[in-house]
Amino acid sequence: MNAIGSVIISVPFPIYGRFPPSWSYAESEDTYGDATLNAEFIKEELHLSRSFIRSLSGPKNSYLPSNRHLFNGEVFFHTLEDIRSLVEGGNVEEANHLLSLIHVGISDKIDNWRRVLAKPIIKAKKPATGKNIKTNIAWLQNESGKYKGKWVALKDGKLLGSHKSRIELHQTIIKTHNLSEIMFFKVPEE
Amino acid sequence: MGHLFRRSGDQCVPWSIGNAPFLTGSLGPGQSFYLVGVTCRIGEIVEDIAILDTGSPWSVIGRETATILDNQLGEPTETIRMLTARYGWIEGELCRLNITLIAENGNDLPIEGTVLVADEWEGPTILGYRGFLEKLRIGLDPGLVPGNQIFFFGAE
Repeated sequence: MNAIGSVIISVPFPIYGRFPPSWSYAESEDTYGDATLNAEFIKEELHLSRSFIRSLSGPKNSYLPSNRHLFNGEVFFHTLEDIRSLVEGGNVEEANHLLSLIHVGISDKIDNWRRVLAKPIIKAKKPATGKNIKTNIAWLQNESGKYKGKWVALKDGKLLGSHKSRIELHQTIIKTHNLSEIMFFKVPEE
Repeated sequence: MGHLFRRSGDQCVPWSIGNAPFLTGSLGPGQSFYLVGVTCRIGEIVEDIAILDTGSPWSVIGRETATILDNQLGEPTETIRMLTARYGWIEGELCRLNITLIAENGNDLPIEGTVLVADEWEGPTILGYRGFLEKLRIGLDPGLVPGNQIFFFGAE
């Protein structure tokens, strides 16, 4: 940690009453006339991005709507990396909490993370459309051994086609059949 | 086959809204043992037998399936890695996608969920916990004899 970083880090963010001036610097801006120091300084700041965002989560999140510049450049990238890392580690709740501290509309990418990490949405139920599922399953259990590693297309317990490539099979089948009642399955190799 | 019910005060209310046979057991000599394969509609028209896997962090579809779905997939995220039992670590992007559990009796259940689209995924479609199963009621009746297995599903 360099000296400037220490000073910044040692001052609690909430006492600023606004963002520290350095948060509004673009990545390319040479704040101190020293490229190395500047890069290191930015890195130090980025290291704090998560805790900094957390520090903004006061009772009313009052900082968030008016500080879009927070998510420019490297800070934005670092925030995305934090979210990605949390999701990879299985900590979706934490990622969602982090997202909840960021105002909607600041970034399309962050809003997209919000969408994909949202709980599934149950839609209006529809009348059953499954027909002959049992006969298709019976075919798979009795006949699919000959089609290892291939996609198969079934209808009413009968094989319509098979192919190593699902796309090839799909394109062949749609020439002659309505896809709505056809079931596809990838027969495993082993 | 009817629905499952649960007690609510003095009444019994439906717990499931639909049911259908599911695939289980071996697919012939020397073949993999499939735990549970259920029929679903991926996107609007493509029907699959997908593997129901509560141990999988996310639902997974391969690149070929994604290509067929085309614009039915939502905007992808940055690439993430996920550990799978079958292929080890795989990489892909998370996307929003409509998937419908197909019933033979009762009602189909459409869900807007999240799937991992993985280029290197060559297995069947996986229905995983996050972004899909986490909001569903699912029940499996193993049946008294082979061929009579029933998958029940529902939601609040």
